[in-house]
Amino acid sequence: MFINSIRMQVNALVKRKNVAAVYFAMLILVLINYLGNVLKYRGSDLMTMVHPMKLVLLSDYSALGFYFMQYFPFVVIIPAAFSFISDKNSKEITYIRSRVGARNYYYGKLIAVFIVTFFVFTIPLLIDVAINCIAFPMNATGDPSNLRSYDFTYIEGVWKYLFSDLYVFNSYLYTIVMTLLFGGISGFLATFCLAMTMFSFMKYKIIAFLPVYALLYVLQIAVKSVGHIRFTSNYFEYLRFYSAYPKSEAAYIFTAIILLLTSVFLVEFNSRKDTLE
Amino acid sequence: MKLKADSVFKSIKGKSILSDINLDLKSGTVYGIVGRNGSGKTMLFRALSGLMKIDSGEINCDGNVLGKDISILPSLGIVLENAGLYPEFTGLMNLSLLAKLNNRIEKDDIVCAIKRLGLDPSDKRPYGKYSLGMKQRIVLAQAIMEKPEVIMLDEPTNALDENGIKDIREIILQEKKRGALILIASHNKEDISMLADEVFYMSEGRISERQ
Amino acid sequence: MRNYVKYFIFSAIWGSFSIVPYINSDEILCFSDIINKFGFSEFYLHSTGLAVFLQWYLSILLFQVLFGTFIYRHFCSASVYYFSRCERRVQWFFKEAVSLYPLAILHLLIMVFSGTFFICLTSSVRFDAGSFCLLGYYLAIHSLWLFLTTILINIVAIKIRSGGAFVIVSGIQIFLASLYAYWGENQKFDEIPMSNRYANLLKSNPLSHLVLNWHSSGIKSLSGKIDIFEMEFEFVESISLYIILSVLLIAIGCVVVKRQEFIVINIETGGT
Repeated sequence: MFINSIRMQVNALVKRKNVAAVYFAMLILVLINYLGNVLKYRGSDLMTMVHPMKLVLLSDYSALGFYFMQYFPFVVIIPAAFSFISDKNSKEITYIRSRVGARNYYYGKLIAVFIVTFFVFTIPLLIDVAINCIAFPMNATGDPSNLRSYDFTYIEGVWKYLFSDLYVFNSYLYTIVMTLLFGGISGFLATFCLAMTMFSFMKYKIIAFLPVYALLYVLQIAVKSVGHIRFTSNYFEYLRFYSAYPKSEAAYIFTAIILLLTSVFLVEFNSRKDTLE
Repeated sequence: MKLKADSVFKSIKGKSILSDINLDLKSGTVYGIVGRNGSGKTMLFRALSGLMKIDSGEINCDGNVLGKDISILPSLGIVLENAGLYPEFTGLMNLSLLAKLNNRIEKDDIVCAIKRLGLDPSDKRPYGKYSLGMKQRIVLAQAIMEKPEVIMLDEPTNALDENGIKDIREIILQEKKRGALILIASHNKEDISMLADEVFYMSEGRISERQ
Repeated sequence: MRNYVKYFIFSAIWGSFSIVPYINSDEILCFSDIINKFGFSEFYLHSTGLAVFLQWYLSILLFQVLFGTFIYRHFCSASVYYFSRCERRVQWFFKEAVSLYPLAILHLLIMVFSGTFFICLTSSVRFDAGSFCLLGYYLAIHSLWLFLTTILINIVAIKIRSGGAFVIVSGIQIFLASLYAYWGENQKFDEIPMSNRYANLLKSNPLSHLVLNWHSSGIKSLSGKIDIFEMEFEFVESISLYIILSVLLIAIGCVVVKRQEFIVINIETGGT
């Protein structure tokens, strides 16, 4: 029954216009980024050609990716995070719960939102990785910063990449893993927003835009307030790849776990309440 | 199927909404619940279905205690006042999605249920654009499409025209013949007198009278 | 109105929280510095400065989210019953819009004073001469911006529901903010005094009017606190622009509300 609940809710989500709109918007961004790179690097010599994985949309060197990240706190919730408000407003929740029960409904919703958000962001970005591998020479080693791979500044920068060991091991695998992580964090943020919308004051969809935006910037201020911390808490630097700002892998993982646990806790709390809609 | 309620109590924010409810319900019977607005008819449905937890007492379905052994009645079709479907999807899409939750029926069964209620399954209009009567018919279709063992209908003839009311009454009798346990809450005394084998009168969350 | 009072708790929380990095400071903070912080003084024209801008912009988004349904809510549950009793819709809209403005001022005041109170608990705050003048300008400019953007969200929501309205209006605001990152790459924006051409370009972005320390003023007590680019940018200019935009939006809102048809009872749910 739980699996059916997830399947039904994923089905209901993917039929919505929001999901298609964000998915195609992501595909268009990937395409524009790719075409921009093709125009910029056409006719380049292999020696000067940039490593294809540093040309992806989420690379720290992509201007388009930078602008996309400004919108990220809003865009991440559009595909699926409103779904509880929709169920509540339409009162469909009563008919779903009467078939699967409260817990199966709430946890099914949580997982469905995660799955849909994860795929909406991950698939276009994996396509980005694939087309870059096909279109650009895979043995190119150049860096958009114009630093050579034996430059001290470059090496120092590489060690500041998130999970830099993996990058050193294999840059292609690194990009794929980071893309999957980006999808995962997007999913966690969407589920966090979903869990927040389960509170009764979240009546209008507009209010759902606040939790994720507030969370990302509150983290930024919170870390800034603690004087001796020497790593950034700006979400840009963690979600984009190849950023040479000092970061904390432990803080990143810890935040992701806390985010997940908070969502689960809120869902558990709400699943115990009666449905009086 | 046997559905039994023993000394069920429920209060919300200090106000008692169900008080000392005792019921013994069995398959193939239509039970009518009559009462004024706010007498607790809808709340009784929520409690009996498992949508709402009770404070004390026990609801038992074929030996399984609701809220302990099972969280919701295993084979239930319910219509509650105000509950609706996704406004952006068609009636058929909405019912197909709900049917996926239990995976008991095929598309043909859904089409058949929609037709039984006098609607066109190929209607491309989204549910949000349906008239009030059409909305009532489609939610009734979702309640009966899976041939559930328990059917709870809260004001089933609301917003329906004469033909609609006739259709619903006929369907209820057919479902009774199939062996379903049917509970109907209605203001319409004619509905209750025509359909119900047993009638419970509710007042201030209590069953004040049985006939 | 009373329902919205509870939202000011968020204003107080955000006002206190955003000032947390400055508590326990050894320096004596001036009240004008605190106002300047709420007025985006920490923002600098560079791509990395954008995160700082958007961080402080949360106070504005907070108001837009909380009050983005202030007028629109009447078009949701029971809209037909409500408007069937409302004979003069244009006047009704005007009255509702006007009653939003004091809430914008209250939001800003609560933020500034809760932030100041929070700092006072651990450090000293000096109420310097120019600070109240700066507070006046801050309230005038930021409240007008809050007012006009929130009215815009409400108007668009009547047409396309609250979620879509917020996406569009906040999308425009983030786009305008992103222009700073793009302009920040151009070194001409760093030159002091800034040339007229670049100053005008900067002023063409409506968000620039929110940055208090980019403004110039003849008030002596404010010298050293503002005018970092040394360009002609009077506070009155910003206030006038926002007033014109607000009047324009109210006029548009009156037309939208007057022409609104009530086919569904609740726009937000797409039905009943």
